[in-house]
Amino acid sequence: MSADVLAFWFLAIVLVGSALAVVLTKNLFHAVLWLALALTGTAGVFLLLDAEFLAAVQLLLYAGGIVTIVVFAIVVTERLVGERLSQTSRRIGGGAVVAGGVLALLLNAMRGQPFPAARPEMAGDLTRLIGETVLTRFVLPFELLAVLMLAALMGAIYFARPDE
Amino acid sequence: MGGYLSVVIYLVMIVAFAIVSLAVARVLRPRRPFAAKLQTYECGAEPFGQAWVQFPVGFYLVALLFIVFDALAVFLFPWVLALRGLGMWAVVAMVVFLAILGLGWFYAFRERLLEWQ
Amino acid sequence: MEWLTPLVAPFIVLNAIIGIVTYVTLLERKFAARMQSRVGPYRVGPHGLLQPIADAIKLMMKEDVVPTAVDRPVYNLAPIVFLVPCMLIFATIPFAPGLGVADLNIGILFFLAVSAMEIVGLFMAGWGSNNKYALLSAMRAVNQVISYDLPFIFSALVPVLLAGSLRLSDIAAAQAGLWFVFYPVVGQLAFIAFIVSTVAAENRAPFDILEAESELVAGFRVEYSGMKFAIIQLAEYAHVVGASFLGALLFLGAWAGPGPEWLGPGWFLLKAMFVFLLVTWVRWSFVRIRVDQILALSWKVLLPATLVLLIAAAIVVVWRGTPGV
Repeated sequence: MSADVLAFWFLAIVLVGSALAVVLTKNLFHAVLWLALALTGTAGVFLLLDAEFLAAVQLLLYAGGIVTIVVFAIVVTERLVGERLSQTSRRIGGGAVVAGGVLALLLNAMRGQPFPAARPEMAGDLTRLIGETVLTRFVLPFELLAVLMLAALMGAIYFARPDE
Repeated sequence: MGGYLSVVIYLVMIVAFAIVSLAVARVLRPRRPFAAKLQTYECGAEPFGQAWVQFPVGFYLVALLFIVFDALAVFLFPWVLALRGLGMWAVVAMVVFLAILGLGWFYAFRERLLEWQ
Repeated sequence: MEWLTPLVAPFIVLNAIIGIVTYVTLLERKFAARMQSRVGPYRVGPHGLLQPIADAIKLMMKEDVVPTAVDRPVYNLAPIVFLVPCMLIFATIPFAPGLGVADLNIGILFFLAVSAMEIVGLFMAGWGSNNKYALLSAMRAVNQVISYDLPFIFSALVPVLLAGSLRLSDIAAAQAGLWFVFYPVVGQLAFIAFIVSTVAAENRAPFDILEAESELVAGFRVEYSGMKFAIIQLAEYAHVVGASFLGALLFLGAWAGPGPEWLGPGWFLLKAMFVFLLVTWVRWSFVRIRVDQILALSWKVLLPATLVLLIAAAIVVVWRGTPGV
């Protein structure tokens, strides 16, 4: 096995293991930590695919930002005061069936493809290319994204602001 | 893979350093625990309850603002690189983007969310 | 110069960083002492030069008190999880042309992304301790770190924009003619914003509400002792030193200086220490400010100001058509 494949299997085990731990652990805070590990593992997968920009963004936005917002969401939640935070995952059986079904679908779809598809060589600075494409060909979606982010921000502020 | 192998080796070395130094300390240090020493530190007073309590909502709001502007920061990196090739067009595109998000900042300002509460 | 082999370079860098960070504590104590008309550490070795080593040995021999109430796995892992990002940020810094762990394509972005991961360690230490001071301190720390991360990123992007590359060695090379701190107006303003954000993002006084000695005792590390405490301290100082190196690289021309080429790393270290002392100088000069003032400074002033500065720099660059790397 080449180093690439070895790294992939290592990351795959970490990813699946931590993702399962997120939903199965009882302690809500531990679940967030497992989530952080899963998100970091995802960055590793991006890196293996030569997408270094995406990997760094994954760390910056998800492992840094999303984890923060989830932890803060836990500590400001009123309902949980006084009792030890715990998560009760119900209908684990049903969830497992759905997950298994999705896996079967994906495997089925992949069987039709010639599997170890050769990865094309990346030419030039990918980050610069992303910038050039976003600012020319996809400039309208780019600006619309700002509108989307604005809407998300305003909506969140509206609901989360303290009552006067 | 553009030097990431060294980074991974460096990462492993950092973890190894932490584990080895903790292990060495474990051998060297004394261990004389008693009940009062193992209490949670609360400046000498009897500790009460758990530490896991509710926090003011301000923490959450700051994190919310952070996510949005962090996403903006993500777009600034490719923009900086593409700037020279595209010239004024890139500047205008980013200014429009910032202006739209600036409305959100202004709303947060108006709602006094930028002040701690 | 070729990149060193993947095994040797990380080993050298790791040891050098640990050495530098250990001695930076002495530097800070001496500097603070002089500011307060004291002598500082003097007894251990000539002029107290062996003090950091004595401290390290002492911390290693100290009993490790683990309170019964802690969440053990989280509590025990926290120092390691905290140390990793704080040391990993050095991975992409070139200490001289070709001397470093890896000169990544996305250098500065890697630095900032990894640096953001310190938050996870803070959460773990604060939550795992199950101590009111520790938890409150960790939450305050994260709150402040994320607030100042944005101005930090935006001000760091100004030199990146002037150089036209994310690769740190390119940014250093682009300053061969003119250090970016001397770039008219834009450079100085960005440098000031960078220093202020560094002081705040590193949770140092006057922004040290996470500790606020009289209020939260030792902050999020209150329940830590012995080697675990030492590792957390090491990580914190490593983060400050890392930010200092970044500042020296982005604004002060990195390894550029008079003399032969092999003096480069020395110049770089000297400049990084200058940035570090600048941060320390602020730390020991001002009184602590309130949490609302801290957040207002970031969100109301620094965030819009650095963004406007960045756009201004972009217009200047496009206008003058400076060739990038």
